[in-house]
Amino acid sequence: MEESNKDEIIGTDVLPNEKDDPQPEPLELETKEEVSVKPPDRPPPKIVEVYDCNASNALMYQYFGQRDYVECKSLIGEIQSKYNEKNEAALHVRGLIARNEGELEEAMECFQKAYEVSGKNKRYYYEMGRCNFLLGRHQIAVEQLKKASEVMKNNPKVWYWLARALYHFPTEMMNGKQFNPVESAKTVLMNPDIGRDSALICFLGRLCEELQDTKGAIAAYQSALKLESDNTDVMIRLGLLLLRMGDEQEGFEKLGNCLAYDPSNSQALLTIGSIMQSHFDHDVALNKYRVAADVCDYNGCLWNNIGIALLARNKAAASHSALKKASFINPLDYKISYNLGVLHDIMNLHCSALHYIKLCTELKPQNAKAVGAMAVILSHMGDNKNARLAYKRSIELQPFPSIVLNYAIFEYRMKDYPAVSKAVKLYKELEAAGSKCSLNNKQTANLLDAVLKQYDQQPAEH
Amino acid sequence: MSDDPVIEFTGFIKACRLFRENRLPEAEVVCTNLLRKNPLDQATWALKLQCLSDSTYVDELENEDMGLAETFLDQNVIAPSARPGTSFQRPKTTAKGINPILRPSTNAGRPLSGVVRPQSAFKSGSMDQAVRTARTAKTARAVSSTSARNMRLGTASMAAGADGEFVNLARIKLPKYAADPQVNRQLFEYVFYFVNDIKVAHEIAGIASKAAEFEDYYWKNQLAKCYLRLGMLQDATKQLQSSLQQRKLIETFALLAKTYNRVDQPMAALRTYAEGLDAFSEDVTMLTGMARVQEALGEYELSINFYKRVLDAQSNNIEAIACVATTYYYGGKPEIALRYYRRILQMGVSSPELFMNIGLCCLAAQQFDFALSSIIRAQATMTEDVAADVWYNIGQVMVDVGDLPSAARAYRLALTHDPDHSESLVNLGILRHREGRTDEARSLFGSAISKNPLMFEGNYNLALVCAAQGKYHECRRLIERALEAFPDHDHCKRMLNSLKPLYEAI
Amino acid sequence: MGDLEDGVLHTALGELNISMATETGEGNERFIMAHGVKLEEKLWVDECYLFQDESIAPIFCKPKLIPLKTITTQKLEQMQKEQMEKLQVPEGKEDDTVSVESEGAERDDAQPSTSETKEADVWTADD
Repeated sequence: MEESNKDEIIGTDVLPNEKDDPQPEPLELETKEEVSVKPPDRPPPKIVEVYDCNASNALMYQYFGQRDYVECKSLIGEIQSKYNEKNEAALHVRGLIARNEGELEEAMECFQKAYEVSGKNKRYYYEMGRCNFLLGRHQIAVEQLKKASEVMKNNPKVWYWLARALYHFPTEMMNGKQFNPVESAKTVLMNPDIGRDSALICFLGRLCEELQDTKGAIAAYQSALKLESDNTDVMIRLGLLLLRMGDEQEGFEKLGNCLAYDPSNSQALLTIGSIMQSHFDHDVALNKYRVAADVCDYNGCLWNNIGIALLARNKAAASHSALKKASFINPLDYKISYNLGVLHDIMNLHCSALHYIKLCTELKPQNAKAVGAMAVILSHMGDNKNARLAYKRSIELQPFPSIVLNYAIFEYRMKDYPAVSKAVKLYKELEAAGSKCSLNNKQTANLLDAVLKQYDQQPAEH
Repeated sequence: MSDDPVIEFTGFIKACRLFRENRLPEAEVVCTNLLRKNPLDQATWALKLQCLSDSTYVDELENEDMGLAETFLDQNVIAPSARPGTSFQRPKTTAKGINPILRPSTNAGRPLSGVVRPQSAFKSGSMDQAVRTARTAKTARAVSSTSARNMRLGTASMAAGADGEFVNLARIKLPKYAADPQVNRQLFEYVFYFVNDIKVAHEIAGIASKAAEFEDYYWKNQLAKCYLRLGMLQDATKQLQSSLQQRKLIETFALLAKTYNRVDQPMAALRTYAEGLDAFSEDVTMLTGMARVQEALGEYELSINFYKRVLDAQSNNIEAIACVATTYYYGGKPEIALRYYRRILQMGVSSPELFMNIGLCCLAAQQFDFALSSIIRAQATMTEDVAADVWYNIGQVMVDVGDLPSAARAYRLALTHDPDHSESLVNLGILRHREGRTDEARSLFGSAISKNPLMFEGNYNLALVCAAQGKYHECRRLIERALEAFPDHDHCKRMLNSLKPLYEAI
Repeated sequence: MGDLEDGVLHTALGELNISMATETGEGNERFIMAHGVKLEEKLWVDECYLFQDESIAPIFCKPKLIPLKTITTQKLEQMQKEQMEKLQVPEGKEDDTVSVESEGAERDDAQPSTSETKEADVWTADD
């Protein structure tokens, strides 16, 4: 007689008498001894052998945990053949292995079988839903996950996968109002009685970001970081978000944290470098970029930043090759072409500069900065009529302080002094309204002021 | 004009003079007439054999066409999983330096080279894919067991004069003629180059070599050539090595290295070339061979050094100039590349490919006016086989200028010339994706991948589209294929890392 | 800032002649002189675009330098062309009488595809 694991006897009708090893002799001996005690019409007790098909489950889980899929698969194969495919846990694990290795169809079959064997336990809908999600069949996935969520209330992952599948629904009109998949995903995750899970919260943060709910996103990322304090991905996202909100100090800190954990993370290095550059700390930025370029030197954004840093240090030739490389990798990026235009203008190669600025305007039309740059280049080339048109158009689109000042200088050269004073007045308005004006701008404005005053005085003196 | 008697050559002398002056068809005609008068004239017979074989002579060192069977049923592979850099199948592709992002590859998965290489010895894709490749595609390989080029060359004999076949190989008494040192060389060359019957040629060479008591290096070389054609590479190696012991010849070194190349032993090939260079310093063939091997292994710096040495020795070697120029262009120095291409132009070569390349270099070096005129010239003179590439490059120029609708039109024109042009398909897909026509973009990327499964950009771009649409499983497969082409790509690795948890999270 | 302006004003009176010079100068100068400082229209480096984060964008296929043909390949192609021509002529004569119909049928089958490629519609409506 086998000892059975009391809690693990599964299957309702799998104590078949056919599987007995009938041992009639000892039975008879027993009955002979006790024949006086037992009533004669009681049938002799049959000895039942209970097979515990879950005996090897622990081993199977161990193999699975160790990622020893070969051993695990062979063990599962044995179990399946011995117990006629009724071991639900084995089917489950087999399905998991198949999914990890990328065989989604096989995985779904296994889960389907497990579902049936287990007496229609809806938790297998969770696994099947996940497989469908990976295959891109989001409608089916959502249905299955919803069914699973009825029974798996304590598992936060169900809601996570449900939200992820919902996220990919197409936006369409439903019941008279716009169905925004991101919104619905978010509502799913905001359900307060779900457990806390870092992947879930991180995804919630991403959804908030997309919905422009920055406070919610920041809160989400921070709580994710509390759960998992070394998740560099979350740190980077949080840092970028803080930067976008203008909280540079915090953002910088987060990115620094991230680099402490992973010193060669090219994303973080790029961002930190760009922050340093905006504070005119170009050398440190270049050092950081050097580390990042070691990892990956085909990153157009990185080369662009390197080029600008070099330009700021007056190394025009090196900057030229860096920017050209960036443009080779990303030909359709308007920022890189703008930078190339600026570079060539500084190098006095006006035709090339014009070519690149024109490219920038083709790629991003209505860009006031680019049109303003084009105006400067045209004026350098001596084409005053078109330069004036370009300046006017640029200021019309969106007045930038430096462009307004450039316009003022241009008109001064053209001896159109009323226009100059109008422009300077516009600049002062912009400054008062809070536009970002650099030191150069302020100096230029002052000098222009002085020159104008001088001009005003002169006719009076004459 | 003076009244000097004009000397006219007649008979055999005339044939010899014509042969010397390389007027082969006329020499052949004279020989034929002489033979009609006297069919037993051995000298004339030998001369005619020489004329015929010379007119179809192709340097065996350059002839690298391999048929389908040789490519896929190759039993000569020695190390199936070689270290990178020691096998042609696994060139070095590192994150730094040249990688598929900075330097495009051909349909066969090789990085682009400066000249058309007749070599097609690389298994890309499976056999049935190669069979499906159309015969008119630009990089198709022969859909037959014997090399199609050899077959085409062999038709020369079928189209021989109205007399039918000149020498009836089935009935000729080979032992007699093959042992005769006066005629056996011509006979061998005739059979090998003109008739293309390698078996008979092999017999002749064997008999001749025996007759010369295995001391004649010439016959060992010819035997090796036959073995190479027949694919019996071990025997070829043996013959060549014993020939080398007798006498060191450039040809022998080169053939030996070619054998090692066939067997995918680039290191041995390099050693052979180095020995040859010891014996013959600064020899162009040896240096070119080393440069080609280094290029195929992905070592562009070393390759350029060798090509530069070639140019020191022989300044008008087009292959060297073109390869150096290509490497400089993709290394970010288009002005230097322009100088090299201009050199070729000065030599009088004026093919449309050259003008297109000059146009591209000028554009990269910002000499816009010259670029425009070169490109217009290229487009005006382009032939059918390069038309697709020319239009593709014109599309790239349009992208650089920012005129995206024209760029799309140019790519479509490229596709009309060659519907398999995977680069145009991918770029057109990217443009469509930018416009928001994602389904069209998907189908374009999909067709690009089906035509060229190893292409990195196609797989990667389609993976991006899939990820955005949520089809993670397909995305994973595509990223894995992209990583095969470019194992160190940072973004791919990151994406794979973010995909794996989706599968493996409990 | 106020002090600077005062200082500027003081020197302005002293350098009156310089500013007069610019007025009488040619209008093609790129810069104007103002109190010893050149003022010119300038594109400033700190206005250039920097990338804070990299967007994952599709990768373009690069411009392709077309491989040139070596002498050997050219010669081979030429030889092949000549042989094909030589073969075509006697073949053409033979096939004239025999199986003209099958050739015609083949040509018809071949034609739709070739005519498709020749007349490929490149100018679509939405360009």
